[in-house]
Amino acid sequence: MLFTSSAFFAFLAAVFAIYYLLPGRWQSCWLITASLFFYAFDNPRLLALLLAVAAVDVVFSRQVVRGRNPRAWAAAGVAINLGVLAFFKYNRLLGITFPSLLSAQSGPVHTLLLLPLPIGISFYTFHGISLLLDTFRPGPARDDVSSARGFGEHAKNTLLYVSFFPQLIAGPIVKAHQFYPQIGAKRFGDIDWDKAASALIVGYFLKVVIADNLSQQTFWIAYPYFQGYSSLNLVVFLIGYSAQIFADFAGYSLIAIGLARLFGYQLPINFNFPYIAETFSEFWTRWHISLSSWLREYLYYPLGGNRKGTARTTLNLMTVMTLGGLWHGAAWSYAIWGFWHGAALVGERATRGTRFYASRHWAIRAVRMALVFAVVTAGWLLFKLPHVSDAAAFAVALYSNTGLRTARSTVFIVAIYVLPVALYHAHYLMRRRAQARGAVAVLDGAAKPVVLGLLLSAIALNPGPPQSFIYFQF
Amino acid sequence: MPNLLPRIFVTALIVLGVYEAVLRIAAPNVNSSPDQYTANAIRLESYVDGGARAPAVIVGSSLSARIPPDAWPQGWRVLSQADGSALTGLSVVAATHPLPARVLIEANFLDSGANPSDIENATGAVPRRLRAALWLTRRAFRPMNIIVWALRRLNPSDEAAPANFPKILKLQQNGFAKAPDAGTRSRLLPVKALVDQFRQEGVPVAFFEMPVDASLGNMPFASGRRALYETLFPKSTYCWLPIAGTNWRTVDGIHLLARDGRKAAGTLAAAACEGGV
Repeated sequence: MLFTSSAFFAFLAAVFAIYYLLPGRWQSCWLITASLFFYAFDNPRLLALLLAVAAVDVVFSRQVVRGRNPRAWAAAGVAINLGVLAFFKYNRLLGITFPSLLSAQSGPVHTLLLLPLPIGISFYTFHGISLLLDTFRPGPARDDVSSARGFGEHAKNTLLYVSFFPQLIAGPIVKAHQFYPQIGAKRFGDIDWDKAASALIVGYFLKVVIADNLSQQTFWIAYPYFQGYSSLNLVVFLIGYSAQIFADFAGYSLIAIGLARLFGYQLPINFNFPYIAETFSEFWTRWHISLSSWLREYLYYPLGGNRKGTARTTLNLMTVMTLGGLWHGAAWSYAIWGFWHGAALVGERATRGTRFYASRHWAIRAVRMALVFAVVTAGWLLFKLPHVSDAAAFAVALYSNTGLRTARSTVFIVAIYVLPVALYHAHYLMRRRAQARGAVAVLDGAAKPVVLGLLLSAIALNPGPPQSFIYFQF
Repeated sequence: MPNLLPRIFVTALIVLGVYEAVLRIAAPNVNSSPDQYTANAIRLESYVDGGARAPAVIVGSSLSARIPPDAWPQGWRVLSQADGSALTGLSVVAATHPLPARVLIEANFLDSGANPSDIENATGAVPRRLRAALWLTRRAFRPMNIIVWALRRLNPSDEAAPANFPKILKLQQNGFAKAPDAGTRSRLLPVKALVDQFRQEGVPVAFFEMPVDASLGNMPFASGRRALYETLFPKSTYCWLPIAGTNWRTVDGIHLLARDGRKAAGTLAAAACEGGV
């Protein structure tokens, strides 16, 4: 069920109304029922896997708190979650790599290797892993699990954490220690309508108006269509795709945050104006924050982080980024994408002491920003063209199509849809400057309802053709 | 109580109200969109909302959709769908009354499936009433479409084959080297059902093939389809209109340059009149 579909709005209205009519002790159960319905709406068979993974999380996390050997229970639970994730992510890659396994026309191996990727699996397995690790370590999640009145309450809380529909399909990835303390009775009067409405309107604007319309232009990046466009057109398409993937995913995350607020829950921000980043390490504190902080907390730091010398730090960065790339899917292009970012981070660490990075001059800062944007945007090509050979052909066309005539109308249309994304980031810079002066930025003050009203009008007037969220495929 | 919400909604209502009023006053005749999906939908909506009986309707793919609209005779309606199917256009024609005087079917890519949501959006009772009551819900009147329409009026395109045409043609030839797959015939059956329905209802139907680059015309993909059409829509029973001419020039091997598109449209219209279709 897409957040942009009419079926979803009917579902949301019904769930919301009943949620606040119910006594507090029944609200979690209602939210779980609604979340499972939401997940099963398009493909009910996928529900079995979600419930099975949630059952593992319930039992193993309970044993981590109550059992004799918590380390073993936590390790086993993490291994099961990773195993499920790896199997469904990479079964097809196995089939492609070893075609003999698929030579039989039927049979259990054949069936298993061709099972499709269950939607949201990358997110709910990461929730499970977070729960197991957070209950293993002292902290709020462990306290909440151990203080649950019985197995039933723990199971209910865990099922809500894993299946909560606003973030079930594509995040943000909420850590257990962030979510468990929020579980409880909610009152209609406590809803922060202003923050919920702001997140929802900006989120839907980014998705429906920007990302969905840009997708119709960046469509031409597909092989072999790009061969007919000039180098300038191809650069513009890439910039358009960079804006599209931001608008699509940041839009989804904002919608999830706004929806969660309607039900009394606060999800962490997932995007913090990433395209104003001046360094690659800063970019990863602003882009898909919930995944990058998850990888940092549960992978990079346990590997030793940057505390064990330059060589080990380099290895850790490359490992984490390459695995982060592979998390997106079973294709070499994703591994190369992760490697590309890892190399950028390593290169940046090596040159951090130079004047280029030390300078505070606005022009140098702008160049740093442009450099990060250019490298990140070039990397998105591997998302748009998962076949490495197609991406290579695009890169060749970028250099060889300089003699072709530029389709100016296409440049103009992409520019119009990229402009709001640029303004969105510029607004952040203005807000930061205003805050430094102790003032309030114009768009955060009296103009805010006008701007949000204009965005709402744009959603009604100029929606793009409905498209699935890009991150649903991961 | 929330502070922002009422002001947000009031602002949005004012903007939408002003926009609706401007549309009613200006009533622009918009038929462009920056994306082909919306352009497809605009063609379908304007046909359904048009009301009057069309002298001819053309359904097909982007090959006929990309011919300049003013190349066709007065009143002819083009429901061809870029990256879509003739079946979508045929389904919309079948669901809209009055039926046209004749239906011309472009047969180059005839086996793509219909798009049910496009058909429902164009012909459904609720969307139709909404479009009649609120002009701002018409896809043609989306702000971006109006901007593009205005730009194209100011600066008409002068299309030319790109400098790397041989490279693009080679890619098309690779695609045309494959014969139609085994499922093509079954995918054509819904088209046949609608064609036979139109014929029973007294609407003449004719097929035509858009000209493509000479090097592609007899490759396995094209010749295999012709053989298949001969079994389903034989020339002895169904009307096939020729588009006479040689040396057709295309942008990419399959889409005619604007000038040649005009020529093809004129030739087809003449053939339709001469053939009594």
